[in-house]
Amino acid sequence: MYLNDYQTLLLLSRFKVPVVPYFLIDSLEKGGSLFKKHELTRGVVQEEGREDVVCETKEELEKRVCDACARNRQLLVRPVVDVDCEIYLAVLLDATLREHVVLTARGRVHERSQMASWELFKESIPVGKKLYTFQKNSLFRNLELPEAVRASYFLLLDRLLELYFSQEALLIEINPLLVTVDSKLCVPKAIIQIDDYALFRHSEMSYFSKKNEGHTKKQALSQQGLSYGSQGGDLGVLAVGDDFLFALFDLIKKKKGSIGSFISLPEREMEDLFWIGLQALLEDQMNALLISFFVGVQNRESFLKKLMAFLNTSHFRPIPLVLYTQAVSMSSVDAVLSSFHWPITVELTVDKAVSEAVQRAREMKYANFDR
Amino acid sequence: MPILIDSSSRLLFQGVHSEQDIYQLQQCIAYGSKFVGGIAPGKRGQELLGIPLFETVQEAKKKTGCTVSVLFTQKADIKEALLESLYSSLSCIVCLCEKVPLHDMVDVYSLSSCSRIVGPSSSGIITPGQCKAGRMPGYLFKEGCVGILSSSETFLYEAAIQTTKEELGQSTCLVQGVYPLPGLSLVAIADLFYKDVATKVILLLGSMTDRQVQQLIDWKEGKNLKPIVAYVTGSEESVLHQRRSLTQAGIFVTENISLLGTLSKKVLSL
Repeated sequence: MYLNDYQTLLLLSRFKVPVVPYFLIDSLEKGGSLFKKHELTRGVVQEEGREDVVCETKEELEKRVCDACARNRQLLVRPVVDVDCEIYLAVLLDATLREHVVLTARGRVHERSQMASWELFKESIPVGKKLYTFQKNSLFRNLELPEAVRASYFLLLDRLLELYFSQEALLIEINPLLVTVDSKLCVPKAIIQIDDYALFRHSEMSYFSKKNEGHTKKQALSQQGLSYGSQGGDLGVLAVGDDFLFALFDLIKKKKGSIGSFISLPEREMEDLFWIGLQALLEDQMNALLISFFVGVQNRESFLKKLMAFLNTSHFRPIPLVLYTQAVSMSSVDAVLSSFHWPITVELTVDKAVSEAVQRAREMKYANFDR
Repeated sequence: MPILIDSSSRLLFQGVHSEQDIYQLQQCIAYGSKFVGGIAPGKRGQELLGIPLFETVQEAKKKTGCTVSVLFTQKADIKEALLESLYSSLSCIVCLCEKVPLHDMVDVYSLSSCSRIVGPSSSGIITPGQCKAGRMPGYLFKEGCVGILSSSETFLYEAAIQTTKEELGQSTCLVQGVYPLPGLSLVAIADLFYKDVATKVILLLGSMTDRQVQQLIDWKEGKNLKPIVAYVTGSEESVLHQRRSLTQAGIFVTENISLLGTLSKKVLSL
C-alpha cells in the first residue's frame, strides 16, 4: 500500500522527522483563508501524480489552487526553502539480498537501477534494526555534507528506521532530502510503501488504507480479493489465479477470440468469491462466458446445483457458458447439467473449452446483429 | 530418489486449527503420507486423527524422528513456527501460509538458512504414489517421470492432467506460489529435479521475474542431460522477452498451455 503525499507527511511528522511545513488545500474557501492567514506570496504546489511546481507569484499560486479545486483535487502547498544542496535517502527491503538496506546518494536520483556503485551508497541494516555508528559515519562521509549536519543526519536515520520497522514499511524514499543554507535537514515529500500483508497488525494503518479505497467496479472487487478488468471484447473470462487467466488469454488470442471483461479469483478462498465474480461478469453483458474453475470430485454435483440455482433465479439474459473444470470426467453429473436453463457446455480440455467459448461468443454476436 | 518427500518421509503438522485444515490433513493421510506427530501447545498427550500431539517441534522430533514439517499455521504465528522448525533441523518445511508479512520472512532468513523452506504461499508438494504434503487432490497425479514446479495450483492441475494423459506421469510436483521472498529458489528446485534419477523432464510453469529467468539461464549452461520445458505468463512485454531468452538458452518454451503434455512427451523422445 502506497501512502499518498499528505499521509506520508503526516506519518513522518508523527515520528518527528523534520518535514517542510505544508498546507493541505482541498477547497477554494480553505485556500483563500490560508492565503490570507499566512500571507502566502510564493510557494511550491504539490499535487498527487504530478510534478511539483514552484509558483513565484501570488497570482500563479491562486491560479493553481483554483484549477486543482475545480478538478476536485487536493493540493499540498509549502514554502520555498533556501537550499544548500539536495541528497537522496531511502530505506527499503532488498528482495534479492533478503535484507533491509539504507541507500543514499548526492543529489536527486532519477533512475536508481541505472546508478553505478560509486554513486549510490548502501549500508545493510543489522539484525538489531539500528545502524551502527561506523555505518552512519560511512554514509555521511560519502555524501560530503557540512559537519554541522552530521548530528541531525544521524538522528534522521534513527527516526526513519524506527518508522520503517514499527510500521513494517517496504520503502521510505526521500528524493530529494533538502539541506538548507543554515545546515538543517528537511523533507519536502517522500514515498512510503507499507507491507499490505502486515496491515492486520497495524490497526492505525487501516485508517489510511480505507482512505485510499476507490469506488470504481475494479476497486470495489479488488477490495474483496478479485482482480477485474476489461479489454473491450465480448467473451467474458472467469479463472482461478492471474497466471491461469493470462494462459487463457494466450489461447483466446490464438483462436481469434475477443476478450471482454475478466476476473481472476484467488486460489484459496475461490469458492466464496466465485459467485461475486460471476455476478460481476454477468452484469457486463458479454456474449459468452468462459469459466475455468476446478471443483473436487466430491463437490462437483453440489457446485453445479448451486450454479444452476444461481443462474436460473438471476435476472440476467441467458448467454452461452463454457465450463472448464480440469476434471477427468463429468459423466457423474450429466443429470444436473441437463436441467440447466442456460446453454451450458462442459469441456474437459482447455483447448476445446477455449475454442467452444470463442465460437459461442461469435455466434451470439452475429445473432445480435441479425436482431 | 524423489526430491524433498517420498514414502519414507516422516511428517509433522503444525498449526492445524480449522475444519478446512483438518480436511486437508485427512486427505494427505488417506493418500498415504506418514504423519507421525502434530504440534499443539497445551495438548501434549492428546491425538488428532490418531496422530499424537506434542508441545514443541524438538520434542516431536526426538520422539518420532520426523523429518518434514507441514505448516498450516496462520500468518500471525508463522514466523515462530518457521524458526522453531528450522532450529530443529528438519530437512524440509512446507509453508502453506499465504501473505506472510515480509519483515517476518527477512527475520527468518537472517537467523537461518532458507534452503529448506518450500513457500511461503505454497500449495504443497506431492510425490505421486508415495507422499502428499499439501492441498492438491491426489487423484489427478500418477507416478512417472515429469518433475513439475508451478507458481499456481491451477497450472499444476493442468500439467498433471496432460502429462498423465500422455502416459508420462509425474516424479514430484510442487507449487511454490507467488511471493516476493520464497525459501527454496526456482533454480534450487530445478537443480534438485536435475539431480533426481526419477525425473526425466523438468516442467516449469507460471510467472517468473526477469531475475529468476536470468538465474535459470545461468544455471542451465552446460546442463543438457535433461530437457526443460517452460511455460511463462505475465504482462505481454516481459513475457515475450523472457520466452525469447529461455529459448536461446536451450529451454523448450511453449506459448500454448494445452500443449504441455505433448511437448513434454516430444522432448523426452529427442
